[in-house]
Amino acid sequence: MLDPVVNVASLNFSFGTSDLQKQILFDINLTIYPGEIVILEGPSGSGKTTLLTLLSGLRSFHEGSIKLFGTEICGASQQMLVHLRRQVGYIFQHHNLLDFLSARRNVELMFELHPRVDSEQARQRTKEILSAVGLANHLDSFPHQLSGGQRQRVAIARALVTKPNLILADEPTAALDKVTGRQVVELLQGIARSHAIPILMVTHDSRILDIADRIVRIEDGRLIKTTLEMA
Amino acid sequence: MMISKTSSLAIGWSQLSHGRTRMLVAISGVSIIVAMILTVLSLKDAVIDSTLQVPRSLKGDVIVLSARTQTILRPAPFPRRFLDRLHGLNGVGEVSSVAIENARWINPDTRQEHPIRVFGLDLEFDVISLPGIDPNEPKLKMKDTIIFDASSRPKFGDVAKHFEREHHFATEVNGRRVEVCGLTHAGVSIASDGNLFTTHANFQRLFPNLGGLKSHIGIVKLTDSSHEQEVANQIREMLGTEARVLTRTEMLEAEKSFMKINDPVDDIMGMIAGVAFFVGMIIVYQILYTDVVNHLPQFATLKAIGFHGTFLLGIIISEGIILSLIGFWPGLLIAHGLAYLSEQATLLPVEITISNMLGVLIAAIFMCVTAASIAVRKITQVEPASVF
Repeated sequence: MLDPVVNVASLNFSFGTSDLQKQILFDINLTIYPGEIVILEGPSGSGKTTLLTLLSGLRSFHEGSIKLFGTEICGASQQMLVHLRRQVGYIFQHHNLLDFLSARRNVELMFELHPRVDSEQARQRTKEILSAVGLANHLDSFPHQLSGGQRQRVAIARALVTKPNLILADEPTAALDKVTGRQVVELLQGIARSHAIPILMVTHDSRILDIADRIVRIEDGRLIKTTLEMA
Repeated sequence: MMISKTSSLAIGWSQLSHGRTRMLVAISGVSIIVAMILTVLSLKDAVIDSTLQVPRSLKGDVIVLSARTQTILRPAPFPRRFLDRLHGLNGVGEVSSVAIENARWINPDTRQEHPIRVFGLDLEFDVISLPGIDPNEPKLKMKDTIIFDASSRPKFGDVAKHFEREHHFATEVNGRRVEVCGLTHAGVSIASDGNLFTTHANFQRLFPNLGGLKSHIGIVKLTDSSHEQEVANQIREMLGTEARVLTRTEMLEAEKSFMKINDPVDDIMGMIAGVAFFVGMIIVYQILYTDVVNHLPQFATLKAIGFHGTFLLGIIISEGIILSLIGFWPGLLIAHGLAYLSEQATLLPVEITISNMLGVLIAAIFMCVTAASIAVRKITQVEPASVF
């Protein structure tokens, strides 16, 4: 068996301190293997997003363990966290593209984090990935010239262009209509499959659950059900 | 080697130029501030320069003053015998003196009296280098003739215009009828609003009650000017504590620092420039801050993705640098225009010097970069976890 990309074990997490402490996550155990598409679903306030920020090393925790690409992030240095984060592709609910940069430059910007890729290669890969998400004709369009679905596709291209080892997607369809949301997710699925990039997608959009290999449900901070659909 | 594919500078430029109106506003703001600071500094230099015009025109290698004299513009008298003793010293060449008093000048148009400064020169010696004095020397040797400083304030009358038209101008000084025989340009200062130049003989006629001619400035020329410091020391020793002996360079330095301490113009102008600098910083800060706040979610996203805060700081700092570098040039142009206008208005030679230009350019960059660094604090505070 391949080494897991993500390995969460006995994770507890609380906001606040002492009297005002509120526990958000209880005894979370979750493992994701290379190539898997895992959907984390659950009602709002259940702790999905908190789990994502913990996986990204953006919050510190004290109980339990999270290993990203085999490295423990509990207590890891800021430098190490940034290093790990750069191997992850992020897709957010809002695309948050820089409105003053074209689609091409928004995507190309990611290579700032990967200085070993030379600029010719960066340009080439940017063009390829934008074509792959169907935006070959919109390379030089600015975000305000694109539709919501197109912008989210630029955001997907941005997350994928540096060939990450994991994709974390936080409700990528929330700002999109049903049809567009579906298209965007299928696109993501296709590219992830062809490059064998594992995806952890947080959503409460029940219409897209079928793209997952596995669905993990979270309720009141506990993982309550794991559906394994892998063939 | 790490080669940046998209430099902060390029991104900063994209961000700035994306909001064209805002960029134009920011650039005009910087330009106006640059123009203001540059004009004020140039005016300040012009005022100091004009005040120093008379001291600078003195031709001696060593200057002898009364120990009570703080500035050549307001010299105290000392006995002439001080100077007579110098002839015996080795290395001393010509020795002469300038007498200075205030007289009452009557503006013939208004019949009003105004105090005017009179310089009594010993024209046997070449003591002062001002335009219009040497060529008019023969005329000046006649009784009751004077040379009028055309840079004097207008309250003395339209002397220059009148004289140029009719080659003649007469009025009363200290109740004596005098004839203007030529014009010069010496410049006004805190000590005088206008100046007259004449011979020792005429000077004594204008001030008959002083009890003989006093000296105010002793002008010593050396046979070999390379030893001025040594000779100055000898003179100092000989004259003792009653005299103040300076080389020409020392005298000019002393005058300059006296001006800086005693003439409010230096402080006032400096303060205006300081306020302008501060206002400029606030303008740039406001514009960049708005820019930062409007893009906060995007910057938070970049931070969450793994961009260092320093990269984002670089973007905003770059914007500051770009603003200052672009805004400087129109500012320089405006300053030249303003310098020309103020030259017309004040009759002072307002010149924009290279050193002032460079100084203001550096100040502008500093101003914008400081503003940018304050505006950027918002980014450092942003919590990347907030984008999820």
